[in-house]
This record gives sequence, C-alpha cells and structure tokens, in this order.
Amino acid sequence: MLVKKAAALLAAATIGGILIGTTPALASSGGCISGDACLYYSPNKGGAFFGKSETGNYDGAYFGGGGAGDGQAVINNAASVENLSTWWNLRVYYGPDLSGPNQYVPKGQWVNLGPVPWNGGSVDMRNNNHSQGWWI
Amino acid sequence: MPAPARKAPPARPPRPLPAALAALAVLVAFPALAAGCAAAPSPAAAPATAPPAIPEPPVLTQVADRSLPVEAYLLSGAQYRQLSTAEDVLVSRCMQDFGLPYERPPAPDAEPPGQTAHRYDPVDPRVAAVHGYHPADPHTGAKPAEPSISPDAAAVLGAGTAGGPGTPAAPRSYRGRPVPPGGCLGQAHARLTSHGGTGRDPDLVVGINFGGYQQSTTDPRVKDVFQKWSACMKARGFSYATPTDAAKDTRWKSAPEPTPEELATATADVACKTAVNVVGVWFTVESAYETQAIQQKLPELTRIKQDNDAMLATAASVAAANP
Repeated sequence: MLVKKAAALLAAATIGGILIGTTPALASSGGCISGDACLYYSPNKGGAFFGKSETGNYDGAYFGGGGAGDGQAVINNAASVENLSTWWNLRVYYGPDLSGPNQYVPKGQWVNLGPVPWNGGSVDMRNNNHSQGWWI
Repeated sequence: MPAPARKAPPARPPRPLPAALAALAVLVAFPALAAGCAAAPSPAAAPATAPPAIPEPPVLTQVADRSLPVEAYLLSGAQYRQLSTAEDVLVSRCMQDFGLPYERPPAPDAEPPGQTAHRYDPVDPRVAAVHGYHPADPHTGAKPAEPSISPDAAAVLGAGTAGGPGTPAAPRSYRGRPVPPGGCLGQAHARLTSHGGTGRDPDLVVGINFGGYQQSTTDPRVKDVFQKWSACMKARGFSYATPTDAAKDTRWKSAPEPTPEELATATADVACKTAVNVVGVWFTVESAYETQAIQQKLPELTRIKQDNDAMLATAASVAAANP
C-alpha cells in the first residue's frame, strides 16, 4: 500500500504521470490507481484489491485495502479484474510469463474471472491468474 | 491523482478454502481421473464425457501460426483494437463537446498476440536460450505512461464506471450539460454495442478457451506426452512432472534477468518438447475438446459471432465517418 501510495503521489507530481520509483519484485499490496489493472479478491470488484500497471507476473503481490482476502497473495487468487487504463487493453493470462489462455479486459471495463460455463457444468477461472500484458 | 480510499469490508463473505478445493475438484472431475479422486462430487461438476477422438497429431514445434477452434468466436486482439479505435473517436468527440481535453492513445506499436502465440511457451529454442522463462514480449515491464487527466475530465470521461475502489460515481451534469450514463466512455460503449454484444467475450466463449485448456492437461494422451517430456528432462538432469511445473518454478520469478540455470532449463524444456511432440499432441487434444464443446453450443455461439460482427460493423462505420 505504501509503495502504491508513494507511486500515486509521485505520479500526481510528475508531468505525464509517469510511474517511477516502484520497486519490482518486492512484495506490495493494495492500491489501485489510474492506469492499473485492479485485481480483486472477490467477484464483482469486491474484497481486498491490488493494482499493477506493468506487464508481468503476479508473484510477490498481495491484496490490500482491507476487506476479504486482505493480505493474501494475488497470484492464482483473484476473482475479478478491472482495467483502470484509459489507453491500454489488458490481458490476464492463465500461465506465467504471458503463457496459456488469456482473457481480454478492454480499457475501462471489468470482468469476473469465472465461474464460466464448460462442458455442461462450469469451470472457475478464479485462482488462475498468473500474469498480465497490455496492448493498444 | 489521490491514493484510493480504503474500501469498506465487502458484503460478500470471503471464499472458504473448502470451496476453492471443491472448485479444484470440478476441474479434475474427468473420467480418467475420477477413479483416483477422493473428493466428493460437486453440483457444478461437468458430466462424464469420454475424451474426444483425435486425428494422428501432426509434429509441431509451435502453433503461433495456427488457430484454436474457439478463436472463431473470441474477439481477436486486432478486433479489440478496431473496437478501441472507434471508441477513442467517439470519446474524443464527446469530450470536445464538454470542452475538456482528451488525448487519444498513440498508434499501436505491436501486433497483439493471439491465443496460440505463447500458449505452450517456451517453444522457441532461440527465445529460450536468451530469455529462459522470462517473457520475450516487447511490452515486458512498465508500459508507456498515460497522460494524467484532471478530476473533472476523469469524471466526464467515465471514471465512475472504472475508477477503482473508492472512486465517486460520475456526475450527472458538468457545467450545466448532462453527462451521459457512464460518461463519455459509457456513451461510446453503448453506441458500439447498440446492435448486439457487450464489448467483451461472453462467458460461454471464455469458458471454452479456459476449460478446454484446463481439461486438456488431464487428458490421458496429454498426460502421456507430459510423462515422456518429464523422462526426457530427467535424462538431462532436470526434474519436473509437467512443462507447466518448469515454467512456474519460483526460482525464475525472483530474478529480474534469467540466470544461466534458467536458460539451461528452458533450453532443455524446448528440446524435450520437440523430441516427444508435446506441442503437436497438446494442441490437437485441446482443439478436440474445444470442438466438442462448440458442437454442443452451436446456436448460442452462432449468435455470439453475429454480435461480434455487429460490433465490428458499427466500429467500421464510426471509423469510416472519421478518417
């Protein structure tokens, strides 16, 4: 949370809103700001959340902000995702390093990561978010 | 932009662990595994169906130039881009009407990959030798910064529809002028979906994309080729049950750049995939599960395709009117 708060303040103070000063690969939690993929622990944008603006894996990320799931790992543990970018479309990948199937989250929109219909029953895509990428 | 306010505890209770385990049981509720699965059947469990018949798998080292059956019903990256470009035109015009600045996104700099581009990665020996398990995507790392916009502009743009936790709803009016529901983004989205579709891939299609992949990993033919791959890796001094286990090795994640050990592992991984035709078998089996699911839902999927076509036609008309 502190990392993201610092990033937010820095972004506000920087022309162009460039996010610098965040330290990758460090555990961080909570905080969703403009330009992020905002991942939520619960469906329908509920529970604790985590914001990530870069491309890459969710390793070392933790939900924060209070509510259900606070303090839990983000990787393979998100139930809904919101794209807070106004420019970039987001893809959330099942596998590490942008591998496996992926789900598009257009800019400004959000999706639940399942359950979705499969083979007469359903498949729950919660617990299968491993990495993310961005495309214009 | 201020840091988000702390969010009040949600009404929905946290997911208990047993539910997560039950979901896992659903995912593996497959005839070939059911005998060895002690978990109680879940009400959401898929019905027992035989593994679909497959043709003799072709020998493949990569599938980036091939499509999965479900991709006929998924919006492609290029199609999402068409929708986005039309949305930008509409949003820009709407913001101008409010006298507010809106900087449109820059021109795309890379082709968005399809579903098959990196599905079974790593598969390219040259990429594995240089990047290991780290993504070779041109957008790896931080994406270019977006322009910061004023709170007024964000509100009219429609930040209330996707403003993150603690963001106030969009105002009903701005300087006496009514703001459309969901702001300018909401208005553009409504226009693009006015003849069908939601601007996203429907759950049915998402389910086939993910469910087919997931179920393919429990298929006896895929498990068999994984075992052969595992034996090949063992002979080279690497111990993993499946390619996914190798890709998910936590040792790779802590290093910003691939280590020599990671490069050696990924190189062996790709060589073994080629040696036993992992990609050919996996792609063939996964395609067969998708085809089976598509045949069961053909009327719904045909409507989804029509909705996609309608959205793209609307986007094309917007683009044609605003060259």
